[in-house]
Amino acid sequence: MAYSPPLADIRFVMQRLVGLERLAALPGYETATADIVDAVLDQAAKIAAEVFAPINLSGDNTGALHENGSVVMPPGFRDAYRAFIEGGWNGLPVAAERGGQGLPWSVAMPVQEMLQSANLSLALCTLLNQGAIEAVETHANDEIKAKFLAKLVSGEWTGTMNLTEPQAGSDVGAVRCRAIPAFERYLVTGQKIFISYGDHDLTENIAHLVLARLPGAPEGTRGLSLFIVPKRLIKDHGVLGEKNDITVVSIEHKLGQHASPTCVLNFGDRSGAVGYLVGEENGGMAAMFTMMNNARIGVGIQGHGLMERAYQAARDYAKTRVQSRDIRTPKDAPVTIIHHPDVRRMLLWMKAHTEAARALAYSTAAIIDTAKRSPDAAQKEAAQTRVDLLTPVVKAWLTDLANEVTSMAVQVFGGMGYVEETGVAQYMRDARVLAIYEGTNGIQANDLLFRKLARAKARRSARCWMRCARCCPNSRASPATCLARSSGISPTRSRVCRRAAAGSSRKPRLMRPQRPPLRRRSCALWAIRSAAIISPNRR
Amino acid sequence: MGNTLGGYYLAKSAIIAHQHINETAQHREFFQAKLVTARFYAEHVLPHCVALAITVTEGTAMPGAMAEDGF
Repeated sequence: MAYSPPLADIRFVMQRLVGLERLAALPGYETATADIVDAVLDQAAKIAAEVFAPINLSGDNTGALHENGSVVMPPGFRDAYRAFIEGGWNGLPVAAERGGQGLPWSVAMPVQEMLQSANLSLALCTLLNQGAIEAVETHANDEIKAKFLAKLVSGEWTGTMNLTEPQAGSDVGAVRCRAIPAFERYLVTGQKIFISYGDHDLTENIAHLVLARLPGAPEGTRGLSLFIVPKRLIKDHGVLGEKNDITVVSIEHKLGQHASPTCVLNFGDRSGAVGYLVGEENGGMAAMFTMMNNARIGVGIQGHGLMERAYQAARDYAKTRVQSRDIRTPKDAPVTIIHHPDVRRMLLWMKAHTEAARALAYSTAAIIDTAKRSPDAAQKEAAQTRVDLLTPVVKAWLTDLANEVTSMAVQVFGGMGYVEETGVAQYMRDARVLAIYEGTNGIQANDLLFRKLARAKARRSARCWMRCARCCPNSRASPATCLARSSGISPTRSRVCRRAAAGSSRKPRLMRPQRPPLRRRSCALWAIRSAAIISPNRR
Repeated sequence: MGNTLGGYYLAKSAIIAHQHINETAQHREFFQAKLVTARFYAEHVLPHCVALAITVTEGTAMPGAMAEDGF
């Protein structure tokens, strides 16, 4: 099934819904003129459709292989990656003075969409690179930047993200990997699992960003530090030396994303893997969150990319598959299934959600650009607050939808979708992990409620109180109860409520949760807005 | 929250499409499709937000109420 980049829809959202002129006015984004952006989109569409898409199915069939202690990528992947970096795509949203193209995230987002639609397994590598670049750029010292940044920006080296260990999944604070200082560097030891692109043959070197604990560091996430550990050691003037002490123990056999190698890595089996500290000692979580937040938006766009691809497949199939007669003309010949009402409903459901997802993703990208480059401090801060709020929504909503839309595409294909040869089953398999990795969608819901909504406690509780007071003027509930109602948590148990109440002028009244009358619909709508990603699409 | 935001963005798309159709006949089909898509979303997806609100405000006690052996 051919992938055709949806440029008309992409341009509609970029130009009409989001508006690019505002972005080109931000300092540093002067190059993002309409002509340049148009040309970038055309070229990105070309590389996605002609280079990435043709090896998607074959990559799934062959999969990445673990041979003699290293990973061999499926045929065609090396050439496709080379074409990608030679085109300068890897550094698209990176500032020109760092060797990038200096284009806004609002332009990088549709480019990512097309690459993810075309070949999710390969495009995952480029997504991780972007996160690694941002973490190094934001937190590393000049010496590390000089060693790594240019190579990461050009894509000559790739970046990985090493958090998970067998006992530390969602609970990152349980990480046991250790690092000890040695000759102005560090020696890292321990095992990391589920490392996407932990090894591959696309590039000559890989920069692993690894969370580990220094001697005497406190327990939990507050005792984690971030290290950059190269696959091959870097000598003076950037010449590559021998291999670092990292063993690729195995790669996982997975439901989907077969072409993306998911590695078990042992650091320091012999004497310790040489690494460099990124950011402050014990400040690893803050530094890693730079990469994670970037990657969470990226995973959201992976979800959107798959939705678009699955929708296209279902639409094209429904226009060609002839089956049964039209219910309005039962005496005529059988028709293509796009004439049947329920198939049309499914296609519209997929199309509507795909377009809504695109609008949310691109709008968020525009807010990221404002947060990064606005000259007005207040506007910058407001934009960052909004990005923080939207990040878990983009990640969780788009990836939950990706699972539903890809599953619905299989439904449109019927039995033909359940067999692998039509290719549509791959999208469903590839989509499944999106709701799991980069923080499960349950973790995203926690993040939204407990961190993002609680962070602006006083201000937000006051705003909630105002809204509730407006929509239920007779209610005498305190802000705490109000917030409890909207978050669905009993005020006696809720930390959010206690915090919110502490920031408000009224003391919390600990009352039994009341059943809000259903006629208070706007109150109920506020409740969804604050909490519904807990269960976004369970129907 | 996502469902509601999706409605917001598709409503915005519909407004833009409506203005476009009133102003010019260019690419009429494309913009007409945006109107249909937004209206479909309003009728088929947004009503779930109201139903979800009941779950969100009323549905928190039971997961905690089930004894571990009850699962």
